[in-house]
Amino acid sequence: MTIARLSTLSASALCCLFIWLAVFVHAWYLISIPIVLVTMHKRFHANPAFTVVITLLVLALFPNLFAPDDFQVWSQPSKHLLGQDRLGRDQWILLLMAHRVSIQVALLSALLASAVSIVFGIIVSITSGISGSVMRTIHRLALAFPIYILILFGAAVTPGDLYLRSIVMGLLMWGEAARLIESRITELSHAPFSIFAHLRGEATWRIWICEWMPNMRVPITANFLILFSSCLVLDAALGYVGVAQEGLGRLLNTCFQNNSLRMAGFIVGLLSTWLVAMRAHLELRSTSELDTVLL
Amino acid sequence: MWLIATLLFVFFAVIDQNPMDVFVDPRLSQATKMRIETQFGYDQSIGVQYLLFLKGCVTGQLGMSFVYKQPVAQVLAPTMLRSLILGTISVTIAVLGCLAWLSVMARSKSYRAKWVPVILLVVPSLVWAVTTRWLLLTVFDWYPFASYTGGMFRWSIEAVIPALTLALPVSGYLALCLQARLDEMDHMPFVIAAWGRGASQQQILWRHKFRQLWPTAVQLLALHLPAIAGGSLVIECIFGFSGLGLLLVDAALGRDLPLLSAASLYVSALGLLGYELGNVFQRRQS
Repeated sequence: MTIARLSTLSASALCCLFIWLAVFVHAWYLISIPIVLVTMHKRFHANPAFTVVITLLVLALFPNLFAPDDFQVWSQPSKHLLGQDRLGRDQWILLLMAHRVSIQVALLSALLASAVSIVFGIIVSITSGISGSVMRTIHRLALAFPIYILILFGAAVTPGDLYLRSIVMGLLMWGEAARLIESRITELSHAPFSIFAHLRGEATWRIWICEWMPNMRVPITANFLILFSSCLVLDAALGYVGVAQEGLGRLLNTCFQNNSLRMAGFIVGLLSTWLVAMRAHLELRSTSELDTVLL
Repeated sequence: MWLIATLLFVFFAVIDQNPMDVFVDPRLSQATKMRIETQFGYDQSIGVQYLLFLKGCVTGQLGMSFVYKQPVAQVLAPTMLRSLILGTISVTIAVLGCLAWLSVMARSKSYRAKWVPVILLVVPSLVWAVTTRWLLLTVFDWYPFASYTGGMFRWSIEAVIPALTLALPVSGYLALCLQARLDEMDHMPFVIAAWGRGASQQQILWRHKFRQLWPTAVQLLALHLPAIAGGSLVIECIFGFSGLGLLLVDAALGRDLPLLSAASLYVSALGLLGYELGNVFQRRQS
């Protein structure tokens, strides 16, 4: 066993130990150590933006680890990290709950929109003739559709149902992403390695899996991150205007109504941190492929 | 447009099968409920409703608003005008901001100069608007809310602050896209010739590169035509600006289907127009 492999195994064991300790003794700060250890690994090029994104994701998906008294809103006064609101509720736990809802909606919507955009982008790029024209017309319709009005109406009709709201958002926001996938596949199909693969007599499915899919990884990842940012902002906007019942936007609106400006600042800071960190992660990992994606 | 109208009809029919359930008091008699449904056309079969909807799209008679109890066109017209004012001012501010940043980036080629438009682009209008309102409230003790009455001049003055928050991300987006296009032009013969003649960076930018650049800028703005003229939901709600966005939020919460259908058709028409304009400028550029 080489020293590098031994050190990687030791680091992995150390991370598992810290995670177990954090869960067992309910010490949320211990989670930060494995996150930093993993994200500072050379594979991630010591990308601080990625560290921030992973930390926020853990905060959103496992809020129990960061909340005192088993996620009780009406906990002991000495444990209120951000103070209490007008009704005496712990604001830190309210923030964690709203954050979890917003991230869940954004993740589900982005996953669904990414999946639809990838499938549709592939279909549009490989079809031709009448079927190709039909698919392109559908794509053009999807781009011209007033998606925000329809999402607004869909969210208004299903105010408390997170999953329906995510499905409506995911099924309507795939248009721009599909255009990106389609242009990437068209570019790959004209690349020299694709032409050589055809000349070698390789089967189409083999060219797809061995040549094209590895080159699709970067646009798909960037696509997903951009969709996630858009869905997060959209969900916050819907919550702020009063259409969505839960989430960071709704909490922000409540804070302004109750004149809790400090708490509103925390919410705005959290949203901005998400968006700036994701964009910074894309910029820091920028390659020529990403440049065309981002612009 | 026919396809869009059909898809909109199907979408609203699937999501909200009978909007009358929201408006009709369950304690009313069956005869009264039938009369109300007949008045709004929901007693017909789905096929007949679709044909009536298409007829309304062609003639401009899109029915009566459930919430405002007026013809939809009468409700939409003034709000469209106010949103158009907001959109025009925001585009003007965005373009001026973009030109200012291009001028700054022409002087300073450092990587750090690129981060300001990136942050402007990444941070959404919601955050800018909320932060601006918070600053105006706490520092200046001023409530920047718009009034419903008053002429175009007053609406224009009241639209400046909302338009500024709407323009910041657009300005960042334009600056980044146009800067990428400008960087591609650095190797063009006319630029090299201008350098050879001793022209400064600013002169090359405004006298040579900008002539090649403006079709790209118009193309980018054309693709955002629905956002410019279709109103901004969040900005209008935050600042109380009585435009199309605020009307749509009320319509969505009140399930006012005729109003939502008409507004969706209007925004779709803007989207198609913007797409075609973008194609025209792209062909011209190529």
